[in-house]
Amino acid sequence: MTDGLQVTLEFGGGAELLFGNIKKHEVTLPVDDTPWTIRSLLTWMKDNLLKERPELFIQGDTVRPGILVLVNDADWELLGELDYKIESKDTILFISTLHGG
Amino acid sequence: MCSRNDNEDGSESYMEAKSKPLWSSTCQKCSGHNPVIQILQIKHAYCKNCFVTHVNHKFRSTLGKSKMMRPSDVVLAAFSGSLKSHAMLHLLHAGLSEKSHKRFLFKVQFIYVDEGAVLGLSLAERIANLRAIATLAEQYGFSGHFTSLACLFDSSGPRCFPLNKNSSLTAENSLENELQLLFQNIVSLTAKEDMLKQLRKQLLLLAAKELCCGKVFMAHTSTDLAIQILTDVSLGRGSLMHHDVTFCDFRDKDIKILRPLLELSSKEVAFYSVYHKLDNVFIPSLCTKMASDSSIHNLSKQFVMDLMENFPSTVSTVFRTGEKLGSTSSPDNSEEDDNSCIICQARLEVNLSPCTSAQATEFSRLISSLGPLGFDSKTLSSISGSNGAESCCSGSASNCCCNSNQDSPSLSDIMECCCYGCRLILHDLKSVSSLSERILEQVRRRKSLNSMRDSIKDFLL
Repeated sequence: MTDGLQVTLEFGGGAELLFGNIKKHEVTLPVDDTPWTIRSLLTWMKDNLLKERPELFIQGDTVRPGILVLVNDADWELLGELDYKIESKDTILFISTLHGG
Repeated sequence: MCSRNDNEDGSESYMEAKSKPLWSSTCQKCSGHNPVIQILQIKHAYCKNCFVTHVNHKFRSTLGKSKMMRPSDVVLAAFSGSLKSHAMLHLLHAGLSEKSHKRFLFKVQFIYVDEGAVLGLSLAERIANLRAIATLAEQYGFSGHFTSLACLFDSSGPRCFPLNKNSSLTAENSLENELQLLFQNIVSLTAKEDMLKQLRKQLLLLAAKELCCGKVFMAHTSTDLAIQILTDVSLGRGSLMHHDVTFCDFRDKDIKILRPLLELSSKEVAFYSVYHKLDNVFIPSLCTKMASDSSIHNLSKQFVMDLMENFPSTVSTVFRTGEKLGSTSSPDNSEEDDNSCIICQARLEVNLSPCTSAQATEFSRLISSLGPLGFDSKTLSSISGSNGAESCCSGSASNCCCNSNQDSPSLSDIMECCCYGCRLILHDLKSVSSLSERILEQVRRRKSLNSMRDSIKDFLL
């Protein structure tokens, strides 16, 4: 066991394209003084995971409108959006609704 | 002062951005479980079970309310492998299963349209996509078909092929090249997207005819349609919009295009597919990974999505408004097919009133293209009598244009057979000859019909 925070990040609906076309990433977030929130996770993802075109995933400090975020299968809007405190073994799914028509 | 939003002191007030409602810790419907999704313009929080029931109900009620489905119907579902179309197949499958309360009685087939040639994929990639799609849909047991966009250029021969895990694609090189040439010749991404959409629709209609299906299901959600409304208006298709955004598109005489997901938002469909663990095959399309200002469609998408962040009712407002907008012109009464656009099959506005914005645009284009010295007294007379002006048969009829059937029609000939929106595609087309032979053939036929009509009109009573 490492002492970081273990989370599963999943991507769907085309969002995986920006992350090396891999749908599931198991990551360990480094230990930090402040608790991890979605806000800090997004910054971390931008620096560590995002392979190309960050503006297509992140806009300002939040995700681009049209990308849904699910924490353990629940809508992040019910959990406080950016301020949700991530817990160990959480599964966070980013799903894009922007493609197709 | 007339506006509802004005305050009494004359200052204007704007709609306020959404405020965060306080959440109850239980589902607002069954008050038993923890809520997992907020829907209905974020006013309601539902639990997983209630939400899935809600989606199912919306889907079934959309079909039921329309009163269009008959037990003998055979439906062709367009399946691209995306989350939305997969959710549609799943909903149909659930509705057809024995244990469902009021079972659907119609039959379902599905079709996958291979667009690989336009998207620049290799044959191996396209076959891989094809097989992935077959694997995805296998669990439902519907009879599957596939077709390729290039088949649209083939005037004879079958267009649909059975789809299974071992299906293979043979690229007909001449047709593929024709298709690729057409798309290379279109300059702007907006026109490319619009053309692809029209071609896809045409192909689906032809395929439905070949497979004897009376109805085609497309998986457009209300979010897609709101975006479509704004795009259509910007692309000059406003008068035809109600075909594109309502439940039923009846432009084709025999086959109706229905959109059973139109009461659901993209968010609801995405959550539905997550909860049912529906996988998807993601095939990047023309506008994927493009900047948001690369095409009008992308721009409207960005606009709607950005507004939705703070004003969750945007989609339903745009969508409900669009639904109510119909063309003022009388319903289609002409049975002759030379009265419809050759690209999108919309009815052409033939008898325009003397002052329309289309004519103003035409006039402005004419003046601009002539330059400062080209304008004289004859210029105006040629547009006022737009039909009679091109009397090419007046001279010696032997080598006149209307007899030489094999000539490829000029841009203006084709323009005359198109609606305003499709004319804009043609403006972005570098060479007319790359249009499909089927379209050119139709133009020739109509042109000779018209000239025949002109020549005999004096003898008619």
